Amino acid sequence: MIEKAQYLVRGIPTLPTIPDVFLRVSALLENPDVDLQEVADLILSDQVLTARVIKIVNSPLFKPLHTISSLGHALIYLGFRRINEIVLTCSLIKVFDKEDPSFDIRTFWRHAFGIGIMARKMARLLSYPDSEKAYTSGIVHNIGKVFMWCYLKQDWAKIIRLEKEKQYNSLDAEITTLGATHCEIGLCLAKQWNFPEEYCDVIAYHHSPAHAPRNQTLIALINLADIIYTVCEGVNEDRCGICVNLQEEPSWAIMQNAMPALVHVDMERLFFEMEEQMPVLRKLVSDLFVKPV
Amino acid sequence: MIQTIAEYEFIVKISDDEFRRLRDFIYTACGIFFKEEKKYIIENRVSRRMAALKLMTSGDYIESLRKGSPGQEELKRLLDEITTNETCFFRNAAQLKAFESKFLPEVVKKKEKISFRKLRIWSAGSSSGEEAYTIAMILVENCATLLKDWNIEIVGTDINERMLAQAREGVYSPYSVRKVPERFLQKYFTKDAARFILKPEIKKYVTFSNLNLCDDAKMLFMRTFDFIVCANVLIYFEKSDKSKITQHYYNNLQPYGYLFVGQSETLHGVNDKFKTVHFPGGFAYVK
Repeated sequence: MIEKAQYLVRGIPTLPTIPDVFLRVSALLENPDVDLQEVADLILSDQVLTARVIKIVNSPLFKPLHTISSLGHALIYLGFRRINEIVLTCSLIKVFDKEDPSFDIRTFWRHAFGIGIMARKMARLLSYPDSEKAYTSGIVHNIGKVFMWCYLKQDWAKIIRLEKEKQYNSLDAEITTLGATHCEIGLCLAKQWNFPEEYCDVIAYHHSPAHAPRNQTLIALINLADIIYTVCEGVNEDRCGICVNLQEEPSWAIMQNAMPALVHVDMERLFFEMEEQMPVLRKLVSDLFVKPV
Repeated sequence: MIQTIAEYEFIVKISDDEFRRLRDFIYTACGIFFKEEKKYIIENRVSRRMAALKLMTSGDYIESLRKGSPGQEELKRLLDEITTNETCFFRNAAQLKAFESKFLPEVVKKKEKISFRKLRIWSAGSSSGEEAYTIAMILVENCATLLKDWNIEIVGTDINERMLAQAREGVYSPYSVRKVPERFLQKYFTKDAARFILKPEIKKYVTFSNLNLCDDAKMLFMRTFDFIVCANVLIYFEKSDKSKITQHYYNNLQPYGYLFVGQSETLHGVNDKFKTVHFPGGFAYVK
């Protein structure tokens, strides 16, 4: 399947690169003595990016005590790690920013942010060493899907039909139509964009963490966060048939092995907190797609 | 900040931080989680309690909840203020949907395999009976299909004789039936002026009796239930009593049995034997 995925990704001559601004911001942030004004000036060169960064930093995701209206203050508030993650998020939004009724881009981003938030929350509860990496993994894990929608439109439509009319599960529908899933496709895309290895692994193995050759704990965390989000989102989609016992999931066993504190985590409360975030996510994503006048 | 609403009433505004501290305190003490959307209800009820106790700031009130036995009593009064008037038919839609579409068929299938066609459900803390009768309506709707030739028994228990009498009578106000689907209202109630009288074909499946959940001897006899529903009852108990009652529930359930609690409630840290199953809008505990 990976060869098929490579063929599909390389077959797109107009594949965008990750926006230049992210690569340049990333390069600047590697220097611990970087002048934040230089980072600000770079971001300010992209009006839409600037507006999105400010919206995100003022959202309940970050809960500043007072509204932050200048990019400079936003960058000071966020700190280096988070600037990088936010600029990456906004860059991905820009790359795939197309209005099209065949794909609900807002649902996609709600899902991405939702898993990012849940993964970060769980990482902190379990003292996983890098909660920001968990957050970014959540944001990027499904880029294969949005690539398929953007560049393989007819195949995407076939996949949706198989899911809706013939009740295929999404991975089977993708393999039947394309010979590869969004996991392999996302992996090829991530490699083309030089994503760090951990993100490539999450993208490739988030549906099968036990098969990952490394980073299984991070991948299992994303898998669990995805399950939690999907159940909570089911309220809006009237999916009363969904029922999940997290402890029976393969990713639970992987996580428990690496982080025994998992059994003490109040999963019931985590679900309540995710449900609480749903309106917040809806508003954030809706705001992010309002173009500045 | 205080807003004057009426001459003798004021609503105190609680800051977001204070709200989170209060809800964390309530969650740790009682196991009920208030989402941010409930903040205005909390403000309203805290204001009432502050007026009753003649306290001027929400900070003073929150501190009073931490003060030993009087604090615990006050917390119960606050919970009562918040959850009172919430009992009604079809109260927890997500739970009922999951029950009817998922858990009930699953239990029925298991029992069909051993030809044991008897279903027993316990509404613990049944109050005026809406919860027990709601379940009865759902089961009766399935009587011609999933539950054909099945014996159904629903047991409602409460400690309050007045509530038990009201439940046995089966007469309800428009407020109580506000969430009942229209076709159920037509089918299972007789309307008499502003009263909704439950029909005998539903009442016949439910019996109500007096039971104190802390009465260990009596609790031992509540056996072989397939489902137990205990919504917004355990929140009033101390942790040790809660653990004991929950262990009784575990023992009283069939091997595959389910325990449902209130929509905002959890038993985290109370019992380590039950497993949780999550569905859109809620979860259940399973043996």
